[in-house]
Amino acid sequence: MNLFTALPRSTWLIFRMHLASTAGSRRALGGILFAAIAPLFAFLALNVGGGGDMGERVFMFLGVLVLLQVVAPALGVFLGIGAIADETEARTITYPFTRPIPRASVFLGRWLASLLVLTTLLLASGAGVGLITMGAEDPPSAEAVRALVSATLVAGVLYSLGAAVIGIIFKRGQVIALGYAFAFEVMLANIPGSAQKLSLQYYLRSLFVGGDSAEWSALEIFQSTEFLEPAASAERLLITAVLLLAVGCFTVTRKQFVLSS
Amino acid sequence: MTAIIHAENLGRWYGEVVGLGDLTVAIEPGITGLVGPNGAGKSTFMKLMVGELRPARGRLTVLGEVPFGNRELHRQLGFCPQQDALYEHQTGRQFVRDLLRLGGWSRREADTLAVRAMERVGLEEAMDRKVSGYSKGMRQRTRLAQAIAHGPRLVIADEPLTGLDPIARRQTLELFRGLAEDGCSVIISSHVLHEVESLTETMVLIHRGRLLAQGSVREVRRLISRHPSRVDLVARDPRRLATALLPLEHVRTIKLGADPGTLTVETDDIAAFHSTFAGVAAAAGAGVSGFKSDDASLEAVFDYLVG
Repeated sequence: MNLFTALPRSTWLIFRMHLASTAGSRRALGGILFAAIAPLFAFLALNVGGGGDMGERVFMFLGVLVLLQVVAPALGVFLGIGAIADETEARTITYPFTRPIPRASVFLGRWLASLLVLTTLLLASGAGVGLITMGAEDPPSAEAVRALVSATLVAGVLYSLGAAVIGIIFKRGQVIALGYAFAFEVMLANIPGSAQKLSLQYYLRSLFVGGDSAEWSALEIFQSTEFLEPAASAERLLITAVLLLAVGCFTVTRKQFVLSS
Repeated sequence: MTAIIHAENLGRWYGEVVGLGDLTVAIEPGITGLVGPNGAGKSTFMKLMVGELRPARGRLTVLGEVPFGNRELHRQLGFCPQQDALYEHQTGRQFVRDLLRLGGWSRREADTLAVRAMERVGLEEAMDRKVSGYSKGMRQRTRLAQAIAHGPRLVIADEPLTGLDPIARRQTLELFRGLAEDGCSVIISSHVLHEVESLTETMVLIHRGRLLAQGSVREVRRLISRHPSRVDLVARDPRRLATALLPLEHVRTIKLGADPGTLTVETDDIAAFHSTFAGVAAAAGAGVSGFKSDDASLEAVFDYLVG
């Protein structure tokens, strides 16, 4: 079996082997609680906090500052980091690596299993925020809700992929991935100027609010931001994802994993 | 006979720690015991053989192939790792079956082979239970089952007897003998030296990442002829026996034991000692009542070798 037929087959088998355990893992169970944060905040803001007539503003605030900037990166890191790191930590990586399969399929199969769990959680979280705010006065449009859900899912793909790659390269990958997502990214994404374009958040926000958004300017406090058109943003995010996939596959193929006995 | 393993100046470091120093060895088909004290480099050598690690220096071929990332070679290899790690959410049967599936077997074929392997290691009754509920010995046998299930040409087992009760140990040794009879080569590492000795005559002794000796236990003994063989004796008059033995050319030292009537002789030529001892002892009239030579014991060879 050559590489191009062996890779999808073994990726599928690894995905199936690990889907149930990923879905039932402590990471996923913790993820359910985390995914509930944004819909819960939306409910509280509209029904307890006296924001019942500000559906769109609550939606924008939670969409950008909670879902895209906190929930999606956090869930992406927690679920993505385990793709290879969990196998190394459990010292089970010896088994797939001594089978006649491309090593990259272990990375791809395990990451895809994590991604399926992650997208389910993010879909529920984004849709929950949308549905709750659409029931308030001055609701967001259905198109805006769709854009938020799409941007959240893309965020999940990228952060989980980035975390999975970091988990291959570094021993304490989770700390590094969290540091990147919540220190480096947050700083870059929120300081004025073109430095924002070095962050994933900039492109995710572009995907969400589009090139010319009145909703976003309502959230601007310190300065205005010029976003890309969603298509241009999607293109750059896709390139980033492909690059991360390539780095992940290459690294896992070449790297030696030293396990303790 | 063509060597199945060929290592030349093989070295592997973990940072500044030497896992394997400079190992040059060729291993022939059959059962081979890889023996050495903790930290000798046995596990590192095995991880290099199965392609889990890459050498830092030197060259290694397994069945004529370079192991790291070699999918064709992995088809012919079975590896039983030392670490007690399994996919805890699976049953033993699922574990072996899913790993077989990665080898290209269909679901049905993989299931048949998995059941056969679990039966072969004596886990037929437990194979549908979650591995998280297995005892240490059962987990060890499950690791062994995944290593042999696909009918490999070479099985490499790192400390496969650890954690097994005496009956399971005997069964496992029988399993290795059966694999060898089927034409499969087996390399096992173990600290249970007498069990390795009972399984095979062929040994590779490594110490501090280097080859210390190789061959049968007797060949190893010949290789280290500078080290004396030890014979424990019991006699009615040990002093008289010692006086009679001391002039013999091949007797190096004689020590009187702490227990009354015991003495230990160290000889440079155990064969000569065996042929001359009876005559000398009879002439001395020392009343010999006990004679024990540990010449062929791997423990003795190993003790001598590693000091």
